[in-house]
Amino acid sequence: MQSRRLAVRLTALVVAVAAVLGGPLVPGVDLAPPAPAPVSGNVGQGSVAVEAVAFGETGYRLERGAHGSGAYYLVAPDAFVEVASVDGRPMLVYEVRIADLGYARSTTAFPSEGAVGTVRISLGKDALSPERIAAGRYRAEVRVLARANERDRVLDERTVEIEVRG
Amino acid sequence: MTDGEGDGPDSDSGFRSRGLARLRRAGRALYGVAFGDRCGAALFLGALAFFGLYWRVGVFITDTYTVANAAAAVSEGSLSVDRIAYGPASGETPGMVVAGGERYGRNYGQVFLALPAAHLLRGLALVADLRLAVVGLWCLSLLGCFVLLGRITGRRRAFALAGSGVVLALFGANLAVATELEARWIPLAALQLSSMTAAAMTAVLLYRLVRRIRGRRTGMAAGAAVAFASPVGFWAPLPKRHASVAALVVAVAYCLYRTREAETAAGPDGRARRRDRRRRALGFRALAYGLVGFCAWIQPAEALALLVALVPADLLTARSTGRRELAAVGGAFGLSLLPFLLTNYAMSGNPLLPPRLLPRYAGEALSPTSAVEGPGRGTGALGDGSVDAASDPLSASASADAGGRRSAAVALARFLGRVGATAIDNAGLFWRFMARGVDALLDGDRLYRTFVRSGYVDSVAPEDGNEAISLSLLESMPLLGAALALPGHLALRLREDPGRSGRSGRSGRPGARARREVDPTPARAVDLFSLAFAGVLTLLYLPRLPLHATVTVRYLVPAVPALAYLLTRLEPVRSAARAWRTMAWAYAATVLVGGQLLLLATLLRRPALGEAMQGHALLALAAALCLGVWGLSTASTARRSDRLGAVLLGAVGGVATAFLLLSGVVHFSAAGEFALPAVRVVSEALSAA
Repeated sequence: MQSRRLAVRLTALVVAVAAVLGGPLVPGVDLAPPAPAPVSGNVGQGSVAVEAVAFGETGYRLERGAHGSGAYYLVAPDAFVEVASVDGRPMLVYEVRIADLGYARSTTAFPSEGAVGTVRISLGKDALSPERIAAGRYRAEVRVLARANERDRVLDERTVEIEVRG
Repeated sequence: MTDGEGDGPDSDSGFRSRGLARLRRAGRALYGVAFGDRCGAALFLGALAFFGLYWRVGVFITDTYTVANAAAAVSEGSLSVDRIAYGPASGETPGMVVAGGERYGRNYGQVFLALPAAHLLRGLALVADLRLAVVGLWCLSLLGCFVLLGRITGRRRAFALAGSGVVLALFGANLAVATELEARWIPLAALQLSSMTAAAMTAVLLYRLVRRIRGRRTGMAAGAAVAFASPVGFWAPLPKRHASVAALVVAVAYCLYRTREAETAAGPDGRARRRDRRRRALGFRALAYGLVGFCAWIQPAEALALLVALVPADLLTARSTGRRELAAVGGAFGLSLLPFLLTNYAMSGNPLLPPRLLPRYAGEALSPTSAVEGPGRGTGALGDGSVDAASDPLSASASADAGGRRSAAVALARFLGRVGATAIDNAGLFWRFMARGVDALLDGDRLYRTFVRSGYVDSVAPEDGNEAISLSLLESMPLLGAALALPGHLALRLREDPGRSGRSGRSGRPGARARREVDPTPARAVDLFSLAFAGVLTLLYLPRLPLHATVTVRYLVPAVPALAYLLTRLEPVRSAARAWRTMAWAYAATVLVGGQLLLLATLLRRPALGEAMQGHALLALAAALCLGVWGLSTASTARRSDRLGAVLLGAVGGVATAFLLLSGVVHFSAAGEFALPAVRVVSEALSAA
């Protein structure tokens, strides 16, 4: 048999055999295990000991989207949480709240059990309708919370100024 | 193009048994009917492998829940949606309707088209791991594409060995990171699989159509453009109806061409030959109308648009339309409407009332019969179209007194009266849509936002979460910039025409007209049909455009192959596409280099979704502008630059391909779980980088 034909047939055979091996006909072989949940464990339960929290005093902006995309996006410096110990699966929440716009944006981190060190939280981007932005500056409350067992503990908070650009 | 042994998918000399030989012949015939030739088959498999890269198993737009739940119900043997397999448990999703105390989905033609794929996946899941089976199917289509490319280019060994290596490596990579694909996704994945098949067939049919008019290379370019560089590619792996309707549109165009071709064909005459040609012409003509009827099962308004475009294009170019033709065409159309009519009848008791015209389901209590779980219910059983009269409000009063023969006649008369009234209502509805479409044509801003530049549109973006993701037609298909070559095309025609009539086809540019003169009627029929369909479809939807959640003006996607076809009819475009090597290199360079630069920009700037989409939009507009300027320049009598045109066509196609890949793998990665585990890993790595 020519080598090209052999190569093609072998390839097809390997693919088919692997698929059947992983299937229900061959018990005990799991070639495609269930995907692990993005956050495992008992989310929101546990405790976290925090040594220090740091987030910027400046650098908060409402920036108009590029390329004529029109909407405004809240840009904030990252928050850093120095974690001493983690028990269970608590949450760390970084939140920016602009009362005058009735708008709040938060991003949550899930430090894993036994983790020690710095957790960095970047505020996710989402779009605000340009019609809502009337002023050139806004005041915002910035907070970092530890959330566990359905209780929020404010680790640090600060009022900052948000500059509107574009 | 070398012609070796066997054109079929499998050429082996080891067949001895008669049964197998017959099977093989049937397979070959099927292969010919579906793909035409190796190039068509390679295009098909290549397109499938391409779509597979950004196939995300999941729901992209909320009304997909409705169709997916209908698909799940149909695959369990029921038209009505009793069990909600996907989405909110209330079943109150856009497009879900209610009739006679039952809940129904819509686009049943699309749902039924997905049944074979559902059976295939179910069957595979019995013997193999579902995820690996999906990966395996993808790998085999890629391998098949390699093998066919080897045959086409005459370098079988190189392509077979390289293809085997690449496919094994890709399979291994996917295997290493494979995760389970749950069986509950099968009905939805089947919808996606059939949509991808339809999109790939759109490319194949366009290739076959254009090949007959302009030759193989232009045909390949047109087919590839639709699959790899147009919104058809964007919607291919998404479980919507658009790719299926696009496939039907180009299939109708193909049939129309074949019927005119058979009518006008010159050649060795003889009574048998002539009869043969007449029969073929009639068959394709009937098939064209049959496809329109079938389309009604998927989306009746779009089918009506097809019919409105097909009838004049057909009648104006037909050699003769006698009683025989009318009977065949009417018969085929009527037969093909049956599934549509029966499905409607089973739902509401009115065959002309499609799901789209039924009241929206708003969480009301369903009739007690549907609360009974299990297989006991006969209502709405597939295919038989019977409906239980008690659950049918429209015929309930009629059947209540259906005792004697007289009352049966009365019931029938009422039924016919109702159907007739619905027919008039529907025609009126379509007419009102058209009239509103004509009004909308006068709205400059609407036209600009829909066809040229989207940006942040106040009436659209808020519905898309303030992200300006719904692009204009030109932004989603920059190749349409080549339409500006129309003046050049006309100029060329004007210059050529006097000579052609004087010296019967041997004038014009030397060489180009040297081939035998072809009757222009078949192509003109398709020109007319394509223009008319694109126009009617635009009128149909324009009053609602620009609209949110359309991303690439998805309502106009069925017109995309027609528009691509019309581009190939422009003389300057065809002439440029003749420098196909240049075009292919420009395309490859743009995808490989430009695509990576775009990816790099995305990684460095981390744009929000709207920013990313508008970035692509601006790039596409710039590309379309370059192509348009070249197109306009072809009108000048000075020497045309075909080479520049080829470079631009290739590069602009590359820009569109990069958009499909980036939007599928990066920007819209949340549309579901990637079918290919390796792509999931790449996508996650890119969004985390």
